[in-house]
Amino acid sequence: MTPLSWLRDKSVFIVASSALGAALMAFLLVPILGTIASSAPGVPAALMDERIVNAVYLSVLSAAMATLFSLVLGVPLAYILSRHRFPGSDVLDSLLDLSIMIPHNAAGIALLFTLSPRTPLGGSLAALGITFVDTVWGVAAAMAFVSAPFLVRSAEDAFSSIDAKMEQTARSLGASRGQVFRHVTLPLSRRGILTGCLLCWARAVSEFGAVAVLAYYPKTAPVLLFDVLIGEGLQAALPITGIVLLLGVVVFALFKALNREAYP
Amino acid sequence: MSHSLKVEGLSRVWPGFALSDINLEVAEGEYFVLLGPTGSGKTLFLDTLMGFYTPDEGRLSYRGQDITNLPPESRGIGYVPQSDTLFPHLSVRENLGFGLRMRRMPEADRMEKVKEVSEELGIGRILDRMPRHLSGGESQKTQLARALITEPGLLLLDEPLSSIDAHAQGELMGLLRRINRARGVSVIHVTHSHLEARTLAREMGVMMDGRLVQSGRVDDVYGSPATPEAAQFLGFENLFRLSELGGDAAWLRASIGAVEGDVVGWRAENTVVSSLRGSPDKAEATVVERLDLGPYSMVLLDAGVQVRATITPEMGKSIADGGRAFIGVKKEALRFWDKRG
Repeated sequence: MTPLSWLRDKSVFIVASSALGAALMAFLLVPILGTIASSAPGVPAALMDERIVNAVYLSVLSAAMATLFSLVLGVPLAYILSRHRFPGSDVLDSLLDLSIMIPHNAAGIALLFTLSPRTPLGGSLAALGITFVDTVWGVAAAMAFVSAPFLVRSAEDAFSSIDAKMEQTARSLGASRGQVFRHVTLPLSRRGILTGCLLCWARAVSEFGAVAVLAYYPKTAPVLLFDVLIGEGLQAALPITGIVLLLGVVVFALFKALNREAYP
Repeated sequence: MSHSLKVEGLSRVWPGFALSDINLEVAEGEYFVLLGPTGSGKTLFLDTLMGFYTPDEGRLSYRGQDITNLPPESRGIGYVPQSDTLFPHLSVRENLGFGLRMRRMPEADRMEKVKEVSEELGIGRILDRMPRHLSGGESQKTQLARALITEPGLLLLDEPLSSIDAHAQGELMGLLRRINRARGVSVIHVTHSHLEARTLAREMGVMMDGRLVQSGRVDDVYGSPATPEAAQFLGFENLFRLSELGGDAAWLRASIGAVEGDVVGWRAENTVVSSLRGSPDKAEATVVERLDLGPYSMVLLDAGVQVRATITPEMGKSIADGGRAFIGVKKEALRFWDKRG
């Protein structure tokens, strides 16, 4: 069935809605696909540029660090928020989204005030050899700050979708709380958690504002892109843009693959 | 007979609901049906027995051991909840073996046990299927087998027949009775279905508003409900305050005679309906409504008070909506209670 034959017997309302929807889809997709097409000829050469490769590698690595950090601390938080009600749990649940609601350069400044070596926390971590200003740790921290909620929300949704009776039944069959989590809850929420990891990583790898304030150096791909755009102009920035967009497309494909049917 | 489960003064409060002072003893090998309307607290009661909630007050003991504060996994009680809780990521075989795996039983022994129990419950041919490919009846049998495989001495079943079709219900009722007898496992079966209570139970209880209002032999409970509310739930369609039977309903008060009590009740089947007066203690009534229910019809008649009766199809031919009939009550079927809430 072609789109036109689908429209043939539809009402004016459906036809108008389809037209408006198509306009939005075009607005969202044309710039991305157009830029990928325009930048494609320069991408192979850009992949030979050590400066670009290092920036992409740093982005991928620090986004993975941010995702791992969010996973280790976020999954327990998601489990508690989805399974237990306690005084202030609703407030805590709402506050979780705060870091993604604020301007990201403001998030970077907030992190700078918390993690610089002159603060108690930053000072303590500096004593352990972990500093955040202009380091990979800083890049990962800035990324985690603006992306962790995506992982927590996805895991929370996954946990909430599991019938609590299923976990109770597992306990009636002799499983301890830990065994229930390992053998029932985790396998059933695995897709949601993986999707959360992917969303978290994708958001982290594309972060510019918070990273630029806390750790402009070493340069991640978005920071290098900004640097080249300002210093060398649009044409010079195009190949890096293409690489960053292609990374996004790969993540999108993985995301769709993960959301296929759960069980045979 | 020794007790499998003993509940003493169990109370627990949730926002908007409470289980209040429940006392119950279930003997070893007993098939006990806990009957109650939706929202009466049956599931919360089972969940508290299972240890998913800790009682605020009271004591639970199972085979002589105090289990009030034991976690669910240490109670050794089997449990089949109302909803389908087969683990969707595990095959039927893996679902059945789950409890044994948690007990670290070697795989060969586990598989042997799975085979044995699956054959007993007639699900041997579906062991390799995933839960989403099972029918309602197969799913329920698998849940039952999964609970039985760890050989609990007591099985808690929460509305086990509510989500399956009538044919599968009949088959599963037979299976439940066979399992109870063959294995000697005590069963507490929660339901709102009178058919299940009548068919399966030797002993039963009635739960209303978080209280166990009555327990005992099935015939005794159905024959003499403890309260007017329980009577209404147990099928006493006719319930009246004696003090309100004046005026046009005086015939009924007169035919009941002198009694102590405030409320009188009887089942529709104990209303006598005829097309002729026959005896002086019958009253003339107007047929308000008739509902044909296959082997019999339920009629609502107005004789100063509205009285329900069951009639045969034969009798139904001579009684039409708006028509006349004569009604009386079987005095031996009347039950009396002190007051009605």
